[in-house]
Amino acid sequence: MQAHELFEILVRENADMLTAYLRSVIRDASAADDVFQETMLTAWRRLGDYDKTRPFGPWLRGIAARTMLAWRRQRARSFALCDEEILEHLGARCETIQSQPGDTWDQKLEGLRDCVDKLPDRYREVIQRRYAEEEPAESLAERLQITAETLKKRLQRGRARLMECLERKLRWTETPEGLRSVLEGN
Amino acid sequence: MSTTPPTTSDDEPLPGERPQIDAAVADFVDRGIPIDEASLDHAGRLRAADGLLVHSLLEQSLRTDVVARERRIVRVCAAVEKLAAEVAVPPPVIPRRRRWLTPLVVAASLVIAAAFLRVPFNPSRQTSLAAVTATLKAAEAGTDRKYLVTTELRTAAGEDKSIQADLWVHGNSRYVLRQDGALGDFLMGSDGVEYWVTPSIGPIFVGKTPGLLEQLVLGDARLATPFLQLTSILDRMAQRYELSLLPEEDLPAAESSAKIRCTHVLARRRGDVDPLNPETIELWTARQSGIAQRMILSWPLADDDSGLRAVTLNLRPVESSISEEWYGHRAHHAPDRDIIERTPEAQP
Repeated sequence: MQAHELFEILVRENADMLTAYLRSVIRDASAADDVFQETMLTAWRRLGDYDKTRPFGPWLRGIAARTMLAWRRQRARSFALCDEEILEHLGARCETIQSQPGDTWDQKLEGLRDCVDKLPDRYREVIQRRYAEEEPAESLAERLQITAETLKKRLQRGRARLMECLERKLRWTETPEGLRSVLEGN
Repeated sequence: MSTTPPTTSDDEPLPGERPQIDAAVADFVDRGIPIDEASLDHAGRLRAADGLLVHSLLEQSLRTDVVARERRIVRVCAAVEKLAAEVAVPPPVIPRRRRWLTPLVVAASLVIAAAFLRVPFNPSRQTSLAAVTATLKAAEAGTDRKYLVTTELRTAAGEDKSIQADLWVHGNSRYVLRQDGALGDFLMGSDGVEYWVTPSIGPIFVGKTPGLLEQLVLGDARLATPFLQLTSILDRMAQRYELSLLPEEDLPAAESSAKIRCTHVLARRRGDVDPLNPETIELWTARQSGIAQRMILSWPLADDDSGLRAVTLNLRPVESSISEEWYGHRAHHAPDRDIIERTPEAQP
């Protein structure tokens, strides 16, 4: 088996985690795809530097973090919050998700889906329609016979409740070692 | 009298809730309005980051976009393959032998064969078929043996290459195959219960089905399976090859400078047998002990042809006593590596 074929296994194993990490910072989907590509190619070129006794995910996020910081200097509008501290914080969050039961990233997100299921009806409905069905805000508000402002509020509160649920499930207050060592070590 | 609508418990503020920050995040993700970072304190920035992460995770978990995911992966893999081709010899094209017949798969197939390579040689039945069929029946829990597996191939650029791997076998069910790769050692093996693949980096794959993991890692599962199951090379020799006994030969002993007298069997592929199988297989077994000393599988190539040419197993001394744990995957990777268990049901 050749090196690039082995690397494809790593790409597939880490694609979803990396996408979630990038999309937390980069709003524009095509820009996130470009950073995804650049991150993976940098990882490929620098595989010789990778310490094989360590997990691959944090190392990959370290590369992604540096790539995002470089991109942000040129394309600030595509990015939300993006500095070393924020990226380290998000990297630590990803690590707690990665430590959840399950083989794949999707399976590790079962806890979030469970949180959605437990939302009060009014919040669960708008979250489901907003994310699962991509229903536009206008038609969703009309269907539910609520104002746009109420819809916005419900989405906002629904997400706040999910955040609180995840904090409990994932024990985010007991954050493991973050990305700083990776950022500083490279 | 208050004009505020009555609240329910659903509307009670949550611990740590920061409505203004959550609203800013909502404006950003739902309307594209930039977040005013200057207005956020330290805790507020982290709260906003969490809000953005939750938004990202919701998009991913509630609306899995398989097409976009695959497009991203394919784009990366194509670029990596191109980069790899720029710095390395192109992978060999193996005409008529299909992609699955990679050196590693062939070597893996020999794992099973090597497990059976104990020939209780019977001088009174000194025929080639007797030697091979007796080998098949003589699968027994024995001592650890080590073989050096050498794979010879010709690249599309016409360059002859040789790849080596170490193979440890014990009885008919335990084995470890270790091959150096560009990224470090690549190992596969079985302790008789679990089958496992340990790439140099990335997760460890473990399963209970022979061949399943090799399929996962090496691809093209359907075709790889026959060689990786208990349909061994030796079984093929007996069933699909014309066997002949060649003159005995003296081969160097693995553990000393002495010579060992060996029975030498030559197997030629029958005309109706799939050309995927080697054209010839040669087997040398020690006349006294019955232990296989050498095995060579050959696929003759035309001058302008590229692909696999030969795989050779040579018995080597075992460095020291080998524990049972050696045949389990945990002996070959750091304890914190991710382990993925694969079952037939989990296969796509």
